[in-house]
Amino acid sequence: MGGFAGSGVPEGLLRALLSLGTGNLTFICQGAWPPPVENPDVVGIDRLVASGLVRKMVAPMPFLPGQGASGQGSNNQGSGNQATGGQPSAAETAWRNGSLEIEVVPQGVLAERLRAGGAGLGGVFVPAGAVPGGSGESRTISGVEHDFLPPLKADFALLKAEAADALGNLVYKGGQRNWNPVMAMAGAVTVVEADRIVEPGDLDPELVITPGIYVNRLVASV
Amino acid sequence: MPDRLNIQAQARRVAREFSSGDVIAVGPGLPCEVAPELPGNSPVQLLSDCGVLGYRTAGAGESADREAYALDSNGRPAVVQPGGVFLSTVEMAAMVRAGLVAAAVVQPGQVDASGRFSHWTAAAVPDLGATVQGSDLANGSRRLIGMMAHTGAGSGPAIVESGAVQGSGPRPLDLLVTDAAVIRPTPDGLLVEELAPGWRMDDLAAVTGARLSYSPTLREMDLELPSWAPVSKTYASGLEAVSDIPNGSVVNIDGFAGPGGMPHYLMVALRDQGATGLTIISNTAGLARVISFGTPPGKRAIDHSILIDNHQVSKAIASYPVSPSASRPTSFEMAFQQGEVGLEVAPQGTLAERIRAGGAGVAAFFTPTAAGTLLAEGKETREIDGRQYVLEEGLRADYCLIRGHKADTLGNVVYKGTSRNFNPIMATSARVTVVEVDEIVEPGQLGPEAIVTPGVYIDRVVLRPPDFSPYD
Repeated sequence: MGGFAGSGVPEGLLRALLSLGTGNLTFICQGAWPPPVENPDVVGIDRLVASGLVRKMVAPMPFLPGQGASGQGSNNQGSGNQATGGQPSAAETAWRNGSLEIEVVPQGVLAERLRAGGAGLGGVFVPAGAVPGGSGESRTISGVEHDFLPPLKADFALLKAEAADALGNLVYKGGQRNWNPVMAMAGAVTVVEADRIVEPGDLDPELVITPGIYVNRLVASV
Repeated sequence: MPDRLNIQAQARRVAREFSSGDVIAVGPGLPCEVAPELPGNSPVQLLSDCGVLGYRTAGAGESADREAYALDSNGRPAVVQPGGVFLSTVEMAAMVRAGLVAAAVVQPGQVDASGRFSHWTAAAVPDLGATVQGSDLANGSRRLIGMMAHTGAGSGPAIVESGAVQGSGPRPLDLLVTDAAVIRPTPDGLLVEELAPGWRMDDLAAVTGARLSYSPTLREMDLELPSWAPVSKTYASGLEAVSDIPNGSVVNIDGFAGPGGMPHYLMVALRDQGATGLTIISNTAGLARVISFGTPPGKRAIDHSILIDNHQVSKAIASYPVSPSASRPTSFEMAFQQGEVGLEVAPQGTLAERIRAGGAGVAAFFTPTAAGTLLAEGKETREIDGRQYVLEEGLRADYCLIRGHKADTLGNVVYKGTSRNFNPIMATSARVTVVEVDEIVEPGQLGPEAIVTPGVYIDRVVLRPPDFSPYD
C-alpha cells in the first residue's frame, strides 16, 4: 500500500477493504500510523489492524511509539505522536498482545526490494549496514562489504493518485508520490484510487509518473 | 542546574553544521525542529522521509491544498521551497545510499561512550530491535549528527557508558548536539567541545552516564545561524564546463539513434578540449551521423563519432555500437576494426540497469536478461524461482554529459519528449555531471512535480547557444 502518514493513502480502498472484512492480510507499507489530530476520521491501516484484519505488517516505521509505552520515548519532543495522546496506537497494542506480527525493514531497503521485484530483478547487493544484523548473504564487492537483498512483490497493490486517465496512467500530487510508484510496479494486481479520472491524452505525457501498464483497476475517490 | 537550551536554539546549533548546497536528511522526532529555524530561501535543502527535498515548515494558515501534500518526517505539513522536488521513496533511498546526503540528523534514544546509538523509535520499543529509518540514513549519509535532550525525562541519563544501547545504529554518530552540550564521539570516548550558556563541566557530568573528556578549546555553544552563500551551478560556456576532464576519463554520454537527447554542444566542447583515452558509456557509440532519424537532407548530425574521428576514444560500453547498414558503418565500427577502440557490449535494458545501479548505490544485481547466452559467459549465474539470472555490476563514470530542456540554477532538470531516454539515469551515476539546456530559469520556475533530475545530481549547467546547430 502506498502513502506516508496522511499523504498518498488510498483511504477509499481501505474503507472498502474494511467493509469487505477480508482478514489474514499482510501489509507492506510505511506503517499503521494513527490519523492526524485535526482529522481523526481518516481511515488508515491502523483501523484495519484494530478490526483484526491484519496478520502481519512489513514496514520501516510500523507505528509511532506511544509516549507512555516504555518510559523512554518521552524525550521525543515534536515526534508527531499527538494523535495518540501518549497512548499506544492500534498497531502497537496489537503487536504487544501478539495478534500482529511485525517485520521492520528500513525504508531504503524496503524501497529497493520492492523496486527489484517490480523491475524483474532477482535481487540486489547494497552496502552492508543498512540491514540491522545483516541480510544473511553478504560478499565483498570492490573492497566494500555488501548485503544481498531479495526482491519483494505483493499479490495486490493499493494506490492513491491525484489524477488517472482511463488507461491507468497516473499523476501524483506532492508527497503522494512517496511509496505509490514503486508499489504500482511490485503488485500483481494494482488497484488505484484517483481524485480525477480523465480521458487518455488529457494528462501531459512528460508528467505521467506511473505508466498505465502497471495499473489494473481504477476507481474514483468518493 | 543551569537551564537547558530551548529546541529552537538547539536546532540552530545543529544547523551550524550545514554548508551551502548541502542536502540534509532530517529523520522523525526532534530533527524536524531544524526546519523552522532555516531561512525561507535556504541554500541548504532538507530531505523529508515523506519524499520532499527542499522544504520549509508550513506557517499558520499555509496548510491548505498543495501544502498539505508535502509532509516532514513527523507527518506535519511542509511547504516546498523554490527549487524543491518531490521524490518517490525509491528515488530518495537511492540518493541516500549513493552518498549524496551531506548529513543526516537523527534523534537517538540512547548514546554510548563509543557514539553508537539506538534510534528513539527503537529505544522506545526495544523488543522490535531495529533502527527503522535511522539505519538507512546512518549508513548512507556522509555525516551523522545526533540531536536529543541530554537526559530522558524521568528515565535517567540518555548518554550511557556501554551495554544499554538497544538496536544499535550501524555506525557511531559523528557529532551529538544535546540541549546542554556539543559532544564528539572519538575512539577514546566522548569529547565535549561546547557547553550551553551557563553550563560548567560538573553540571554536565552530573546528568551524563558516561565518562566525558573535554576539548582543550572547550567553548560556549554558538547559537546563531551561519550565512550561507546562494548556490548557482551555471557555467559560461561548454568549453569551460568540460575543461577539467582529464585523459583516460570514463564519460557517460547519452544519445539514442537520432538527435534526441544528445548533448551536441558539450560533445563539440569535449572534442575541442581534446582529452584522449576516453571510455564512453552510451547507448549507441555514435549512430546518428550515418542513420540519422529526422536529419535534414544534406546535413550530418553531430554525435559520438566526432570524438572517435578525433582519436579521443579508447573504449565504448554500449548496447548498439554498430550501424544497421553494412554499407554505412559508423566511425566506431571502423575504429574497432582497425583495433583503435575496445568494446564492452551490454543489452540495452541491462546497460540502463547497470547505470541506474551505479547511481543508486547498488553494487550488483541479478537480471534474467542474457542468461544462457554468450553475454553471460564468465559471469556468475543463479537460479531463482526456477529461472536463470546473471549477476551484473553497477557502472559509474567520472563525468557525464547530458542534454536537458530546461534547468534552474540549482541544477534541477526537465527533459523534452524522448530526449529523456538515458539522460536521467546517466546524470545520477557520475562524479561530475554537466547538463546543456535550451533555457536556464530561476529556482521555483520548474514545478516540483515536473522536475525529473534533482539538482543534487547536477554539478554544472550550461546554456546551449540558441544559434547552435546539431548538424555540421
